[in-house]
Amino acid sequence: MVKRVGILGAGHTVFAERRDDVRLEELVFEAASAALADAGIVRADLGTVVMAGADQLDGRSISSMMTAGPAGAYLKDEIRTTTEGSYAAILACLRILSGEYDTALAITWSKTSESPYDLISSLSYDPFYLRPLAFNDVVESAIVSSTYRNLTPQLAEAAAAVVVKNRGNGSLNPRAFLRERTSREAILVSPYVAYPIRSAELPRSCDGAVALVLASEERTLSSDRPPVWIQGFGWGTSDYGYKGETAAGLAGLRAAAASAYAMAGVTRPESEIDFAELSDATPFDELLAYEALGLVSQGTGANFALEGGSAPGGSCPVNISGGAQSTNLRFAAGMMRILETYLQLGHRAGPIQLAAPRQGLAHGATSYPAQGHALFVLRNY
Amino acid sequence: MGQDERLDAPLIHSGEWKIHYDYAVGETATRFFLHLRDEGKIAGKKCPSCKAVLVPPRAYCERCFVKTEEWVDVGPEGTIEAFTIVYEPFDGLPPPPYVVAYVTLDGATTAMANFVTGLDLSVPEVAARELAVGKRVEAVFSDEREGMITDFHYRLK
Repeated sequence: MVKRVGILGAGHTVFAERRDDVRLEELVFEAASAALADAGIVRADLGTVVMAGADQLDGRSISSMMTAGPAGAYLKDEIRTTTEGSYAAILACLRILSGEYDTALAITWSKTSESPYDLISSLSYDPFYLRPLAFNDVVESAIVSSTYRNLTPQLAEAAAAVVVKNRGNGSLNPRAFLRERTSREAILVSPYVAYPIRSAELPRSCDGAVALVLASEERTLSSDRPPVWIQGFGWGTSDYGYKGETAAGLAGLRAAAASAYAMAGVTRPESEIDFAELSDATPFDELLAYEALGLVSQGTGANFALEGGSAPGGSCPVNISGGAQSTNLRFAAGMMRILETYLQLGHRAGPIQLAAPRQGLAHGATSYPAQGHALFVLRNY
Repeated sequence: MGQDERLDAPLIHSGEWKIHYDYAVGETATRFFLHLRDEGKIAGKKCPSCKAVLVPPRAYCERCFVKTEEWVDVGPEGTIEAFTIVYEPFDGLPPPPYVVAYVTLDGATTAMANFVTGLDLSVPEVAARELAVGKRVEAVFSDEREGMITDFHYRLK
């Protein structure tokens, strides 16, 4: 049987629209030192450091040259991935499971106040067939959403319900950046940015960094704190073919879920998963994920949201933390989903603590919409 | 050093790089663009193994991992797979409103993106109903073509 990885501690920075009080490296130091303190270990105890960062957003090439030090990696083994933030946790898990390391710090950051995010996202596109047209993250997100919309007439109401739910949840979360509720009416009168996405459905970005301290099973069991495990994880990438239903089917997330569930022994996610922290850069992403993750049956995701199934007190509360709708860490959003899931399972979530959660999901999605997905199954038993 | 109220507004140092790239288009895409410019036609390449017609063309099929050799004309009609109508301005993108859609041209296996023109976009819901996934479009070619993807756009049938 494959061993499992435990989480020893987690930390994050103060979130703000602009963190002009710190340079990028200092932001990284803030999160790394908070995570080490929470885990009750010092830098010397760390086996390896795994970072996730994007040079084009950081405005420095090989930005990890500068962030490795403040991440705790000075003269230590370190590696970086440039995929979405939560992929740092995947790579850290793999390094621990290799048996080479007992502990790992996984860290990611997003300081998008310094750079033109939308313009940078246009750079991802093929320079011959796509760039001369008009693409960026938001446009592509809207295109994916259009394929789902076709299948579900009540999608606009469901999308508004997701934003109202997540912003309401965030208003109670002391860690959230935006702590303001919104209303169905405010969303449905807001103008379209790119149909079907409305301006009030795109959350304001914030600057911040998030870190986890991960450890081997043995090392986790030696900690004083009750363990929280990454029982399973997986990742996957969707096809680029844009056959309507394939895009809305989030094949990449289905693949990630298949491997994470198999590793964790989850066979009936709709009853075995108590809560989930899902990628909600737009509410359509969250709705699509309900179905791809098997939390509800095919074609019922919008109804699930409208009937309160994903609300606090529902059968599977989703983004009880407020999600990215309340703390839009963009590149680092997925890692924040893991942190919030971890705190819930350790009964340390504060005012938003669920009664007795045993198993939850954390999901990260690449900024290139709905293509790359990382999924984590966390449990406390 | 004590409290220094000047730190209430920390300094910002700006940086800007103008980096020019010369992207090699390659023989496969060059043929596609020249066929588009000179003949006003859209062509894809067929995988000898899985028979998929890849549009835009690729010099190889990633799935079968073989070179593609055979050229096939596709379209000019096709079916909308996915679309959006952009209403807000973005850095580096054209002034709104405009429509972009992925369309599978008749005879092609994969979808290709382009603008969709000729619609009244003043009422989003009405325009979106016109553009629904599954609707038929036709590729319309510009009179003055320069060997770019923008030499054509889609128009609803």
